[in-house]
Amino acid sequence: MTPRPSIPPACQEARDRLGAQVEGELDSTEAKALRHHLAGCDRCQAVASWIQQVDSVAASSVDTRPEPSPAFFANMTKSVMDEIGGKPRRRSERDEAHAGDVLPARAAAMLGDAGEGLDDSSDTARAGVAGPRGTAGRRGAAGRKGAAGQGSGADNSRTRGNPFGLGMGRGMGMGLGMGWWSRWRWPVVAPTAFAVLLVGVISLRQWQANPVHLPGSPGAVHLESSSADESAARPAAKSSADGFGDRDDSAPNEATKDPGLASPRSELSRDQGGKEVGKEDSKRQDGAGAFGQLVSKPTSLEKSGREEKTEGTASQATVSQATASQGTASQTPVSQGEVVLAEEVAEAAGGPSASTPVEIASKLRSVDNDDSNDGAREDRISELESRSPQAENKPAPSLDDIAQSKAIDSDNAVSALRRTLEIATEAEGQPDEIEWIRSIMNQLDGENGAQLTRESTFETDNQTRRNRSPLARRISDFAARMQNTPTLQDSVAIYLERRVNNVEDTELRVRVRRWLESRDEQ
Amino acid sequence: MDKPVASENTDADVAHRQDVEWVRSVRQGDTSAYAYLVDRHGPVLHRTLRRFFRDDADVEDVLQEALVRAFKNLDRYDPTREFYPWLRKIAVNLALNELDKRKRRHEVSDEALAERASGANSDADLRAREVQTAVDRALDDLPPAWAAVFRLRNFEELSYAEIAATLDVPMGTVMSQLARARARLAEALAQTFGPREGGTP
Repeated sequence: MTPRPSIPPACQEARDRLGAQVEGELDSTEAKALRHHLAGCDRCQAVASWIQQVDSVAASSVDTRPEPSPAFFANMTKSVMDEIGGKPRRRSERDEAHAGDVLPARAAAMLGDAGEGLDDSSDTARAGVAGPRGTAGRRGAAGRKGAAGQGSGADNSRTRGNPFGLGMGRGMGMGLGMGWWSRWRWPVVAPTAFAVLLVGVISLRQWQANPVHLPGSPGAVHLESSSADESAARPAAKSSADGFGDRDDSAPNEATKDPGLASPRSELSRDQGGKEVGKEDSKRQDGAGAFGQLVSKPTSLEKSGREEKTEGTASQATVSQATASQGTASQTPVSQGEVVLAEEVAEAAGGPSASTPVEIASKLRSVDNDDSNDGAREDRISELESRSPQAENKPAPSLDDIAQSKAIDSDNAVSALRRTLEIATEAEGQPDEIEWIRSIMNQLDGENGAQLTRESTFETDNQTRRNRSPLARRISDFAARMQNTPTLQDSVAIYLERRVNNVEDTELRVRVRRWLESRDEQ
Repeated sequence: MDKPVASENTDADVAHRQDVEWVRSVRQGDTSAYAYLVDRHGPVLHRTLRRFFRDDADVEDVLQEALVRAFKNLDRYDPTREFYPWLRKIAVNLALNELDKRKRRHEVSDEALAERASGANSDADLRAREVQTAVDRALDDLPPAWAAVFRLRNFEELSYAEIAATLDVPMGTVMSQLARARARLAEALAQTFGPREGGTP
């Protein structure tokens, strides 16, 4: 490089301003002075000409490197968030760490049911019912917490150390070390778990086809949790479990025959039971169990036949199992309305007797069947079943209760969420939250997401908000409002986890992911 | 100085208000809200930083460092100003610090340049890469502050005032550094491609 000739101070100052002059960045006074200088300086005039050449060369220096992929920025965001949150582990590591829990947990849930009738411990049976809740219900599809989940009523200390959880104890004595081992060797164990699951299902099917009537079925456990007379029901279940075969063969009942494996409905039943085993005492004592009646009774959907028969409420199955276990000849489950009626009858007769309302209801039915029915009983049952909690001065169920009652499972998260909405709508509770969930679902379903985004429904008439993503804001607010409804959060999270990758709205997608991740961090 | 927020409801104004809302959320403890800011501004900042480094790994490092530093200093952000210029200022100064360090260590690696120049698919592509390489080399030879001014002006198309605000220097300094950067660049390019019409100063 040749040494540069010295430039006169006046020229240097002019050239320092020359670029700004060319680009119109000088104020009028400076520009006038510079023009005056240029008029008498050929060198500076030359400089003015090549400035544009340099700029044009620089402009042609286009960065030809390919743009980073969206994944790059997603990882960047993750890295930054990890760093500022003090969480160096990446999502992939987390998933891997927990992946081993999921399959064995689900296998345990299934096998647990298969072996439930063989269990000789009512305590184990009760906790075992809670198992599926603890494993799949809480975290669902992502299984991030897997078997170590926080299922209410489940013995987490047991499931945490043993991914097979209680199901293993009930599940035909599967190798004790398998669960622990699979936690660290899940790629090997996952196929095994599937195989075991398959064997379990086949065994159960065979048992179903050629039933050996084992007492102590889940029905008995559910009777414990749903019956008003728990003290009466529990010994019955226990003795049944010990006695092998008190069940009345003459009263085959689907719910009793299939304790919960054959249909989605049965999973709801198990989860419901799992929840209630853990919470029933406190909830009933404080009178918060009003919701239990709401969800236990057949809904209008069910009554109108829109609901599939296999998707009856948990309590229906419970009651029907109880009915069958009592040897009632009826093929039809005793409805909750009948039970309420029976409670009234029992009360009118001087308070609860040794018989449970279910038993009373069964007896009432048999009497009614024998006599000519004038329809008054059915009318009364209908009236009881259509009675709203508000009408009885019972507190409206919270959405959390509703969500819990639906036993959100990874396999039916969407339908469960929808079902939650339906029931919540029936309960006429929390209309704001219902609207929020519905809007999210509508958007994420993509059914009319784009249209909804454009609609002014979610926007104020403030022009400044037009370009915002209203849904993103709504989700943010929604998340905040759901702070006190953790189970509802779970159900929504499961739903969102499944759908978030399909969301085209970047802002929404980001917001949903952030929310999901923040839940993980918690 | 950063542009104050416009009073009318322009897109920029709307975006600014969104940024401020997210910043407010972060300040109130919702750390996850920062992800929104990262997602929105990260790609733009990445493009800016690519002009400072040949190696994408360097870009990534500085980008991440800038985003983390911005988070840690979020309480210093003035919500009446736009967010991105504030973020860019952090990033550019980090980039300059890094380039200064390398300059002091005389780290001049042409590997990335050579890599970038390779893989041309056509004559035009080849020419573009050639020019890019020459400009990059010339900018590497400049003092980092001059090169930064040139990059921000010519590649980012910032105004002189924005450059001054980003680099925390007076406007006159921006003018003089830019003029000197151009002069040096013209010399370097003339050596590479031959003298242009009008000659070099």
